[in-house]
Amino acid sequence: MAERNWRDTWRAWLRARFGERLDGAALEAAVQTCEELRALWEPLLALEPDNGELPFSNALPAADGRDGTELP
Amino acid sequence: MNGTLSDASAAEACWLPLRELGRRLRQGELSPVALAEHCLQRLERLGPRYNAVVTLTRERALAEARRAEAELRAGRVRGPLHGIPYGAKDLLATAGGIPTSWGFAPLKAQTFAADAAVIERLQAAGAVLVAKLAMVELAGGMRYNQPNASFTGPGINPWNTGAWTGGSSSGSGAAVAAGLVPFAIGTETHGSITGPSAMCGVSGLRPGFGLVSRRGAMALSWTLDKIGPLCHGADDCGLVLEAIAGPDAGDPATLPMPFRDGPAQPPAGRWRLCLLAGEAESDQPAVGENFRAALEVLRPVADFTERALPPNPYHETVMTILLAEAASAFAHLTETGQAAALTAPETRATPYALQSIPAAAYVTALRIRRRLHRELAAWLAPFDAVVTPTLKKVAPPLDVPFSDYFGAHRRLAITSLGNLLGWPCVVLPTGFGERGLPTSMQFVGRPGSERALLALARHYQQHTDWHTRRPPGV
Repeated sequence: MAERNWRDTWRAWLRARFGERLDGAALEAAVQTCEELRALWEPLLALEPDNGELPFSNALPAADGRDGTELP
Repeated sequence: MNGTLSDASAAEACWLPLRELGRRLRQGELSPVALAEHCLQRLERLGPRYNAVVTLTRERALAEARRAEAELRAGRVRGPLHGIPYGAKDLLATAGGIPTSWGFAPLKAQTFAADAAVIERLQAAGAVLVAKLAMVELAGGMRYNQPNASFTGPGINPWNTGAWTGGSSSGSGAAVAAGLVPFAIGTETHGSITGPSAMCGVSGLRPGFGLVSRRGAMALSWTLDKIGPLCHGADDCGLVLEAIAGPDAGDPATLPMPFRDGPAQPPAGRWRLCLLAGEAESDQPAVGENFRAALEVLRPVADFTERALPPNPYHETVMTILLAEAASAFAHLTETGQAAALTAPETRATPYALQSIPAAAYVTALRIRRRLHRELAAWLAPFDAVVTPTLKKVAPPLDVPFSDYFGAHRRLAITSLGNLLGWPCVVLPTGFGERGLPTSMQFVGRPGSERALLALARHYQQHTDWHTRRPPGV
């Protein structure tokens, strides 16, 4: 999708999500920030086609209270 | 025990190594009460010069100091920090009506019923809380791009008052560098201990994941936040880490063992250090020159191998995780309209935009982190640590956007990687560069290598005196 379309998409989403809390210059600043964030996350989605890498465990909590989601 | 400090003692107290300061307190050569008073006076007089202090905790400090004095007189020694004053970044909760502002104007009067785990542990160790220290609002999670990003104003560098302190632990860096407190506690999610340590010319320790409980600390990113000390010397950092580390049911990510500092020998007889290709190159020559001089100090005990980091999206991965978690942590800013109260104007749209990060991107970033844990552990296996300059440049001027001064990324890839994977890091001053500002290097090692990194750092500081230098006018 072209950048202009992304900007239109972000603008529409921000309006729908936050309504009058964002307008004018604040809305445009949020659109710009959404674009800057997209530059961070979008490349990641193209990097990890293999679905074998677990992000975290869904194990039930153990007796000591640790539930498998602790940091390594 | 002296009720007051002599002029000579007062001038020296905040600059002494913590072991020596503790010894003098235990021997009755210094009074904990007089020492606390001395720090409170310095914080009151010099703190505003650096925008370093949010709240002086005078009443609590004097109560803790009196208790320490009575216990030491009775021979009941809690440990090496007994009676030593310190400051805590103002995102660590403190009971007793002492505000915890998170650096954010609407929360100036925020209070908590209980102390953070770190504050509890330092109290149990006999340390004396004298101040809550300034910080970048919300620990910098709103993507600030210039120093004026806290209701306390920009952190002002004691080495050059036209320069920034680094952030987000800005007050912690300035207060230690200016000798307002003997040590301070900071936090790091993505450079917030290492940056201020480097820019202010102090020693800092970023522990790995799970060593220090985050209970009672403001959450910016639950899977990235870490708490650690800023001190004059690396040996001080080890003493403080011993006091604050250990398991805590209130933070299920804590590991089930304490931290014990002490001598450490390199497993291969000599330290095997990895130099990162290109990381010593800077358009500020002193950064590289001072780094190379530091390597010569290490050369009698270390072997160096130059390698490149495997190409991976370290910055993108750590920032996607950080910002997605911050979107949840600070979702209320968009609902309450408090986003408009952020001091840094360039950040006021960020709380809204953070909610645009797709869940799929966040989960993918977590999966990439799991892969990198495995792959980078293998990459680091031949080495005891990576050693690089901490930053490519000295502290920026107060009036220049970071993006203009540092370029696209103000953090090195190893800083993104280290924070992403929870690799511990020790930061040490290496000299001075442009505008009289400190330069710095960092040792970054595998999880659990804090003791080894500190041993290497002690070796360096036994042969150099950069960590004992004092800024002008303090």
